[in-house]
Amino acid sequence: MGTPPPTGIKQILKEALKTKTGMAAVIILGMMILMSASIPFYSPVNFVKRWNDLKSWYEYPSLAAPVWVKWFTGTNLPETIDLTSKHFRVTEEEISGHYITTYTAYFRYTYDDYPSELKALIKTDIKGKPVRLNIIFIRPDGEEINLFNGLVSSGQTTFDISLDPKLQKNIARFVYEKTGTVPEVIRPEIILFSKSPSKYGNEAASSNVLRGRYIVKFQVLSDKKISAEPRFIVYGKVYGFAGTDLYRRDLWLGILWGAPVALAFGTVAAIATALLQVIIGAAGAWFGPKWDELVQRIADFFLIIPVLPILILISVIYKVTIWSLLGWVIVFSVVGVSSKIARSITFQIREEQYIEAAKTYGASKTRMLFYYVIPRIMPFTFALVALNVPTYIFLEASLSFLGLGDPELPTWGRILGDAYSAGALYQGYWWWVILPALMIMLVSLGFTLLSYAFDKIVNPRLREE
Amino acid sequence: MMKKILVTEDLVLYYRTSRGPVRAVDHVNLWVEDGSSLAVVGESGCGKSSMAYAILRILPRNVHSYSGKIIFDGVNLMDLTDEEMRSKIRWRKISMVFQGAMNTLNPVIKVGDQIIEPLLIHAGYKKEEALREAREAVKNVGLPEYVLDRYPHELSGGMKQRAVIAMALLMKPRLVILDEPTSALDVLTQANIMNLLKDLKEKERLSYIFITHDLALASELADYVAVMYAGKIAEIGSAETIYKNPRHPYTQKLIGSVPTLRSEKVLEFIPGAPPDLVNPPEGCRFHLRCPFAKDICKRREPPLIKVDNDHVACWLYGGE
Amino acid sequence: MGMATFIAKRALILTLTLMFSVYMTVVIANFGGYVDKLLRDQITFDVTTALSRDPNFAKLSQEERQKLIEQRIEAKIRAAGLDKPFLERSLIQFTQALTLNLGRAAFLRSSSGSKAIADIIMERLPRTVLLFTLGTIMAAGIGIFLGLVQARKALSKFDRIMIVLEIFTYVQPAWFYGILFILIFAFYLRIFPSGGMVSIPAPTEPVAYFLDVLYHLALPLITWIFASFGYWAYTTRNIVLQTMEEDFVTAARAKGLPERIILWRYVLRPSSPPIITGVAFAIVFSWTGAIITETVFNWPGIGLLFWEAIAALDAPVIIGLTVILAYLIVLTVLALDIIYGILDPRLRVMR
Repeated sequence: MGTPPPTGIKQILKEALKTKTGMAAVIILGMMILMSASIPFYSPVNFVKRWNDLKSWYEYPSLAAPVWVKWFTGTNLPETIDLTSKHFRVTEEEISGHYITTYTAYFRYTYDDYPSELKALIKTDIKGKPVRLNIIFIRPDGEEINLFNGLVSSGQTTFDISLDPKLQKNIARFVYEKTGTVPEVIRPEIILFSKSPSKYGNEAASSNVLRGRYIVKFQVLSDKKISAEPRFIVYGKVYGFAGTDLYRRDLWLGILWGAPVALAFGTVAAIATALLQVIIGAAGAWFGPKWDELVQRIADFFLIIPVLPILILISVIYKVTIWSLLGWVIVFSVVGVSSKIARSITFQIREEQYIEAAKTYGASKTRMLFYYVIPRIMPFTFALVALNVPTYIFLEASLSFLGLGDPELPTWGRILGDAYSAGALYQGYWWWVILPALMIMLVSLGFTLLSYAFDKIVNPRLREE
Repeated sequence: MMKKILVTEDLVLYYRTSRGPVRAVDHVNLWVEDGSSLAVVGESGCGKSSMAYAILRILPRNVHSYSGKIIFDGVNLMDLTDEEMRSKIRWRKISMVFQGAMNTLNPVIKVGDQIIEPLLIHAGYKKEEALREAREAVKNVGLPEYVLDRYPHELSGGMKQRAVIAMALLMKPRLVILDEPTSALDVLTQANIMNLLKDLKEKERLSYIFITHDLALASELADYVAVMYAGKIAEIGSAETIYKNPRHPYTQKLIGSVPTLRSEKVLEFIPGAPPDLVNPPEGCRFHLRCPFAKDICKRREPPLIKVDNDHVACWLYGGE
Repeated sequence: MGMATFIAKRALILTLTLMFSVYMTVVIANFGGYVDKLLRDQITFDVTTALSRDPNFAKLSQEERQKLIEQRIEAKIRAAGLDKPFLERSLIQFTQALTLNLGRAAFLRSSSGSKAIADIIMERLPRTVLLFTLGTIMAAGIGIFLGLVQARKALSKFDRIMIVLEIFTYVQPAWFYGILFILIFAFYLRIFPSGGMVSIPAPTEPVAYFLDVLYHLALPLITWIFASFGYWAYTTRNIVLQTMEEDFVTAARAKGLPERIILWRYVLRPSSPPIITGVAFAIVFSWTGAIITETVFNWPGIGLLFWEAIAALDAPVIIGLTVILAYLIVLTVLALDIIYGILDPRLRVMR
């Protein structure tokens, strides 16, 4: 009862699109492909190098949540305020042969929470002896704190206000003057921005954030005229679509780049292994019992080999790239479920009349195998191939998660691995884990639905309704 | 006039499929006289097997319609509950021999255990007595006793078929439905089985419904023949009438297409393709392939018209 | 062919497979040359530090010191067998491994301080068995039951949705759910601990210890079941459905057999061989796949041991583990073939 299943490859694809699940799958996967295709517009060409060059991310906040978190929590979480040299107004004074160059910038701080970090930088081009630099921080309530007073030489100097204890002496004094005690832990990004810095320096935000107009001054004292590029970064707590990781990298770019890698790896692996398996399985059944035995023995053998441990072993000892990994994966998957399917179908086909006929008019066995047999087998493997794509994506992700995959490419597994190693699970940096995970799940879902759609078409049992 | 052991009236069995309901058994009326055998013949896919399932109420999951009357020994089977059907009718009164005995035996259970199952379940026999009966039964079909201890795959096709027949007769039913019991067997074994069936019919006074697509085969066993086409009965009458003097154009073509060994016969064939059971033609199902189709054949379905000892569903024989 | 020949044939093939897998592991674990280099460096380091602590050493001349160092290093190298060519050494390791003479670890130790690999492995194997065997059995139980329900309600909305759900959850590995579940249940909801097998410090009283282990077992167990039940449900559903459509089931109905008997004897009995073999297979294979899951949960079983051994490039341990696993797999496969042969009499002839 019922109509026979379509056999042409194009036919099957068309049929798949007609079903609800097929449509859903196409939509989801289409989005992924669009993501991958949009990369050239989105991110710089040498992104991969940049991902691994941690120093290049210094102007991004570390462990920042995605921007849209603001809308969900209702708190106006701070975004990064980057005062580059063009934000600074320059005034010069000359007093008896000495030059005082003052760079002034101001910003309005209206957020509901403190910044995550503060940094001051200055790039100078001085010949001769170092000059004296004063960095002054002026709060809306008029309080002035001298962040730095010392000598700088030529080149780029970075002042890690939040991290460097040497820079926090004045801040400590500020707290002492305000509260009468010296805090145990000095968190400049909180103290400088709070209405009433208590002695412990980590009061609740929102009500205590000092909103208003802040001024930052870089004052350079020198013998000669100098030119400098000051910079002051007030790091926020949110950034971008997907936040940042511990190393300040924009996770959205990383996730974006993960898409084509995952799709390419998964699809190539799934299709290549399916093809190989079908050819081997069919060939075994086609060319006679001796070959069949051989293929069966090989299949038994491969069945027992634990693929993952061996891949791990290989990855540790011989460094792998994503391509060599692909190669190994294919090698270990030469025989599998698809070869069994191919084998049983080939047995059925062997008996058929037109095969007998073709043999009589002299078609070579090999040619018949590739022209008649294998194309008929392929449709039955579609559902499996679709399902294998995410399986292989996860295989690569497993290795990357352990830190064993391609050391350069930002794959989703690698991002998850970084997150895990940095303790994101135990510290609640959920965006670092959940967003890449969501991406992988979306791809899985897409291919699962696709596989289901294919299965419905090719598999008679699911067709009857 | 002999008593009729089975009469169906307006028997309907449609299946639900994605393309629409398949009208496998479409208002079928037939009857079986007590102690006789009725051959039900027709092309593949015309609904013959479905009719057997309809009688025994073995329905698949996707049933669309199931109605009509099945009067067996005076009782309308349709009135019985599923449980009554199962415990009183199946196997005890009506049993069945399926197409392709290769698959009708459970591969993981010994043949003997399968044969005695109905005795244990329906008649409350102890295993010992049941096995004794089983041994008798397999002897009756010409099998050695050791087959009871074997698994189905250890027996040949012919042996399996005999075993299945023995199993069907074990509870001495009144009616045995045989669905293509020999189609998967070689000619020699086929002949043996047919002889066996003839023998048993004599000895045990059985009534058969013998379903087949092979007219020649049917002629060996049939007292009456019902010709099915597209889910409906085209013609039903005594074997003599059907073979010597078929009235329905379809029957005539069928008889004409059977090669005979001796006489010079021009083989006929029936043009066109078997009808789609989802969208059967309007009016008489056969009219598109019928050389005598009239205007009324295209519009109205003919009822079964009695002509002498024959019943034909054809407008050629009146009934307007 | 009878059972005996069947078993013998299978055993032979499996043994060959076993030997090949073990040898391949030996080659891979050693061949990089890394391990050799590490061991040599270790020896050099040991010798030099030991000698530099020896007060008499300083009294020797530069030449004599050099000679002494070299002598000692050579002696140690010979003692460790590192001077033999690789092929010979690999064969030695191979035969040792096959006979389960696992030897001593290069770097790792068991918690009792023993370097004997057998100790190390035996200490940790039960923990993996506890988690994964229990998990697999529970997942199989839930999944098979679910699959049966789906087979009865085939093609219903419930069935269709469950299929997609089952495939979807199965495609994703357990460690993936692990990291998500840890984030949700351990960090946010604080229902479960985030890893390890016992709390630190572990309770000493046996009942409390037992409960503590259970408490730590819960989340990885749930994760494992969640990741695997789909496979059981889906395959059971399909196998049962396929069996239900076999002619002999229809024939059984025609015989008037009650549904209960049809279900057990005609549907489940013929379906059981593939399902049962699947369960046993999965149990053994779960041990190989457990590496990352154990790492994520910090569960001190052989999966984590494997990872630690790799990180330390402790070749003997790696080889030892792989050999044990290979043996277990091979034995299980053999046992399963036998069971399958018993359950499905057709197979004894077909092979």
